[in-house]
Amino acid sequence: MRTDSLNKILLVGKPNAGKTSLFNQLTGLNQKVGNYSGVTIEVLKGKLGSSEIIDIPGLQSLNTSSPEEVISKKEIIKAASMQQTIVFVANAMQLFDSLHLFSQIADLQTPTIFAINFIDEANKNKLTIDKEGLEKKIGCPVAFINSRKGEGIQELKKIIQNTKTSIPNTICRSNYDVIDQGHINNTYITNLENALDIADWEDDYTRRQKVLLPIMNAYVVSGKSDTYLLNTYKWDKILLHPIWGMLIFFATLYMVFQSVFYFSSFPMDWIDSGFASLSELARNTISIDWLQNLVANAIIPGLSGVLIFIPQIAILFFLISVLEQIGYLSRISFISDAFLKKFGLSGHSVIPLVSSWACAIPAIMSTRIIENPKERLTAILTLPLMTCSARLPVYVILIAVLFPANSGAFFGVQGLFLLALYLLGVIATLVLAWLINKYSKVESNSNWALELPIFRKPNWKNIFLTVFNKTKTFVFQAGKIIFIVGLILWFLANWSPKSEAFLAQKQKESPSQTMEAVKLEYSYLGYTGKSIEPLIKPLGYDWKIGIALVASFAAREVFVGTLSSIYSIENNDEKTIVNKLRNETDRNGNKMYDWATALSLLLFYVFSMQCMSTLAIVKKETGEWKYVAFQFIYMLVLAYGSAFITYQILS
Amino acid sequence: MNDPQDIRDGRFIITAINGQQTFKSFLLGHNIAVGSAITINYSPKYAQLISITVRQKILSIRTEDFKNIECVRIA
Repeated sequence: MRTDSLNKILLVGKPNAGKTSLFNQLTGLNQKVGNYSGVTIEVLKGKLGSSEIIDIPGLQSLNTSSPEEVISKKEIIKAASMQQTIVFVANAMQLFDSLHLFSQIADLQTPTIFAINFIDEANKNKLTIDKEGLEKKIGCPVAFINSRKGEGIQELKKIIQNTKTSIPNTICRSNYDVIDQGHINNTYITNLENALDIADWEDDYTRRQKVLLPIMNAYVVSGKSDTYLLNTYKWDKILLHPIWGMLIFFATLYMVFQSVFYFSSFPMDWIDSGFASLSELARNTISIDWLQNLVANAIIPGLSGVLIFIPQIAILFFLISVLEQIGYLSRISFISDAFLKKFGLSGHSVIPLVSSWACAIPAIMSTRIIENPKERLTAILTLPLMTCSARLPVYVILIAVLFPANSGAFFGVQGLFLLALYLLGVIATLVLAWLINKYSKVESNSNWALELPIFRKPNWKNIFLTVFNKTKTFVFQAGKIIFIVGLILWFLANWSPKSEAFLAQKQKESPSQTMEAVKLEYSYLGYTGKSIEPLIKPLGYDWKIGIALVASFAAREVFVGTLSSIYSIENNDEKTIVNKLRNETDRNGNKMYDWATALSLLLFYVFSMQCMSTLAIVKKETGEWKYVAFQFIYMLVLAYGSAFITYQILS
Repeated sequence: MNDPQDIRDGRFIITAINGQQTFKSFLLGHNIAVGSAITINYSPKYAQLISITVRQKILSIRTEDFKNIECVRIA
């Protein structure tokens, strides 16, 4: 046994082996974990004492070549070339499956620790592993861990930090020895870098099999492991059933959206009225006019426009996380594969599609789990049509303007309407996916498999931390933009190229307007809005909505905050944003947010691409500006066209 | 070639893998090769997928791909 001690530790293993749970346990961080393959889509880094822990996407073999596996393969080869330590994480119940990958890692001859995860499930299924015997045989330390509950982590930390890790015995490395001018050169790493052809790979597989099978037989005693999957089989017969499975699927979807509305309505009302009172307080206590105006009409309404959506976003993230962790999302992939295939997508697209309900950015990154290049490009180009959390504030406000509250009932028209908008996003995604797939000339391959994880109880601590982190990210990312845009809007709204006398004269000419409304109309902001009015008038929007539309082109969540700021500047009598919108009238005294305008606006937001960050990530993932331009233009055309048709028919 | 309808629910040994090289390497990535023992699980027709268990791992493969896997029943 050779020994070595290094500071960088790479976590390697098959997909869904629990690497990220272990990463969180070792580093004290809280990266997203799930119960399906492909949760980790990029390299994650954290600290354990003086060591750096690096978590990489799971991979099936060092010979495969899917995009996320290539990232991992490169990291592993790099780590081995620098003699960094690898912690190989294996699912105890799928040990033989993991041993193949371990044997490939062992042949890289870098210090390694073999961490056998989900040891609780092994104990439950009476699977006995001879730890000492296995350690001697493979030549490196073995640790039993349960990364979900933190069991065995201290022992693993001690192995990492206090003892010198060992380079494992080779398995098939000598097969790659080549004698060159009397010297033995090993070509194992070169072969991995260049990818083996199928005949060589089959040969390599068979040789490894011959070494690994005796190891399994000697050191792993299977008790009643056949019962390991029994519960999963039983549940799958119900959840994948053509009738019950479909009913459960649609009921789950419906309950998610009803819950988002029902459970968030009270805290949202509290936040809304709380900020209204805060604005009132600012008006009554701040004596400096401009400061009072800035705080009460820009800062507080802007903040309210972000914070009010915390309950809904937190509930949505919570429910999606629960579905992920119990293993149901993979069943949705199974159920929907045949259907999605008709549109050029597959069951693998379900996880990016569902993730898009939270945010298109991680969803687009998670398309790396799709091995088919054509399907991956189709998914990237269409995912932003799914309803992300930034659209939710716009939908919620406009639905609340159109429909009265649910009056305490769990099932209500608001939830149904929200579900309809989400479904519209799904339909648009599928139709566009079909079109893009039909006309795209990108190469396609048809090999496809889906791993169905066993059903597991959710890890509540992790779910709550995930919800907290995601909500915090939304608040801070959106909050920063909304705050800055709010300040710019306030300045533009409070400065005018016209004199005070001109404004007073205008107010005299139309006494129905307040002085604040006249000032806003003739401010720089008012002129900006009016300059784009001819373009948006056919959609039913006035210059105030135009300002909010332009302001939200960088990030769509800015829309509500902008409207909130504009109407606060103009009218302080109404306390909440919903009431302000309900009572807003056009120049002729008609309701501004009638069915035609509100629906036209909703449809504009269903289809338009108003997120600079998404465009940036599309560029990063596709590597080409032409796809970014195509996506922005087709979504804008779709948004404008549907809003135009809706308003012209309904008005 | 298998007709997936004939080989539902049971334990099988893979005797041959046909089809393109990419399919073979794809299966090898999942440690499925000639000689592997697989269990075929409940797979509803509408899904057009065959659910198999290989070494305690449940994997679903499309019916048209599964036709390239030849196997014989062992239980």
